[in-house]
Amino acid sequence: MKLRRYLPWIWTAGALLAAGLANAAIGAVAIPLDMVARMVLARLPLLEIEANWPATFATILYEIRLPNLVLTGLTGLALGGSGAAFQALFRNPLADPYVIGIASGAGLGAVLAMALRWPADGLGMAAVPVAGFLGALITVAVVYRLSSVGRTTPVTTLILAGVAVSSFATALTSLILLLSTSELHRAVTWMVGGFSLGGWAPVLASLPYLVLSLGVLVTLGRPLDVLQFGDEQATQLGLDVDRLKLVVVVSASLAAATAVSFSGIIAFVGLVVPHLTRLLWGPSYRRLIPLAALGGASFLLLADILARSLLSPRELPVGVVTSVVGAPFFLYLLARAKRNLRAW
Amino acid sequence: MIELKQLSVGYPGLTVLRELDLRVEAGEVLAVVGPNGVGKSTLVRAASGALRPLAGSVEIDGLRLHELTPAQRARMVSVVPQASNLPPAFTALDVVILGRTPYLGWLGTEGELDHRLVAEAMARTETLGLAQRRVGELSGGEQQRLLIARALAQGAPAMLLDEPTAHLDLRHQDRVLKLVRRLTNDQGLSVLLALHDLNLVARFADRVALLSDGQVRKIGRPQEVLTPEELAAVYGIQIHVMTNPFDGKPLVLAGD
Repeated sequence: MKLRRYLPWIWTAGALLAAGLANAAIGAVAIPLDMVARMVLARLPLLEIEANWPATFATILYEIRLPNLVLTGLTGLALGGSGAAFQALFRNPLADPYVIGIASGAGLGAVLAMALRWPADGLGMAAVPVAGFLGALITVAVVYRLSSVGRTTPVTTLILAGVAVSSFATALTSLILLLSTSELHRAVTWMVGGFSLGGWAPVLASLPYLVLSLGVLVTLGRPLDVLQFGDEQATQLGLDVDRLKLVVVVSASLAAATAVSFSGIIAFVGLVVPHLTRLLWGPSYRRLIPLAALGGASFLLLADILARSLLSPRELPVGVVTSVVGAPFFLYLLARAKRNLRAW
Repeated sequence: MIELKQLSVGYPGLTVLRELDLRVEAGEVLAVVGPNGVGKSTLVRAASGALRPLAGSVEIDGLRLHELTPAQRARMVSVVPQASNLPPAFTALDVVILGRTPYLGWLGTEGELDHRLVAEAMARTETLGLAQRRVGELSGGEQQRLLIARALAQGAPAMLLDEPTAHLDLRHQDRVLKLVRRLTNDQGLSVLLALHDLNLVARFADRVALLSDGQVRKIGRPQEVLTPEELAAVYGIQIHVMTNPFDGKPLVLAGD
């Protein structure tokens, strides 16, 4: 009985560990798994491990793959966790930071900040997510307004509003990119979801935002469960619904905006992962939010392996891989939703 | 005790209830009846505190509902809504345990006391055997009993029920209302029940309030309120009332 309770966590953590090791090992230069494990452990304090690996491995792993791996994992955490939170908020399993346009809004904010040359130094880099965050908040407010019908948020209006707002934000983003002459290529790569900034700086810059936003979200599982019964029942069960929604919108937008600011727009992770997590481990958001966050990290680490190896030596942006996987999945959910429209 | 004092409720541009007075004693089931659109559901929403009154007040055991926080309100009054659109993948236990929300806050988790009260509420509503079943697999009657269990777990002295027998067959209507009756008697709850079916009202309610034009037209024991004259005036059709040969309560028949 005790073990059963921890089973979801054991499986999810195991999957993350495996995805992380594979991500570090696979690439243009393959590093044996056991050596990856020893090289990572060697970096931990209190462990004495003899450095019997080639210097090239050290350079590749410590300076390229590990920072990329950690940023990819953090981005996946943010997308999975915020996706689950948005689904809880909209009471709609098709809500995802990308589908409802928040990612594009965050992208617009972040690109605007970059065009104004905010990230010229370390402090500037930490400011990009703030701009993305503002863009995300404005987007979520607009989409929510547009898609609410009375006291509910129907799936059709939600997606229509998301598409419209997203297209608008993307168009403005393209305009800014076209008008700014320098670094156009890098920005475009970034837009479709490439981890091209490199090094540990983006990891450090995103960490405080993610700790804060995901930290808040994982504590809100129980009230979000209450919210699944509708605003009125939730109020009658003693929940301060307006305050809860505000906190969730702000936290989930911050998480999504941080992911977008450092990793570009990566679609469908926040849709696919919470859905699979729900199928595997049940619908309660107490477990769903943290498990979807961890699952998001695994999913993105695996997608990143594909992105780097499919057309090797060329690297695909990871957003291309998640879209190729995620878009058909989205359509499948939509087809199923048609049958259960009444339930929404 | 539930007291509605000079209560006016409505939505923008539409006043549904006007200066309405109503009082439900502890241990009493008071049924609110009236035609569609007369404001039965609005009355329940207002009495739960989910809808702010335009004027007047709702008091539970002397506490003015609209001066309390949502959590404080939920400790005073619980609501049993119609069982529809419940999250289908939640287990029955998941649903009932949310009745403890007003005692936990955002960050709290259930303790031993909460689990015991939830098990008790499920035992009383005969839902304990369903605990691990998914809500989507349950019948309408089972879902309705589950919502009553959730309301019981709230431990509030007042309980409001909005059409709890809608969509239920005869057997389950009977079972749900007998349960409500028994809980009221055993726990001394003050129960306000919005119900369409006048014959069920006659069987299970202590008193009936007949709503018309946003006010209580008549209130009293079922045989005093459910008369052909009153009902014909409110529902606008000819109505016959006979004495039920089995329990001596009024039996309402519509038609010419």
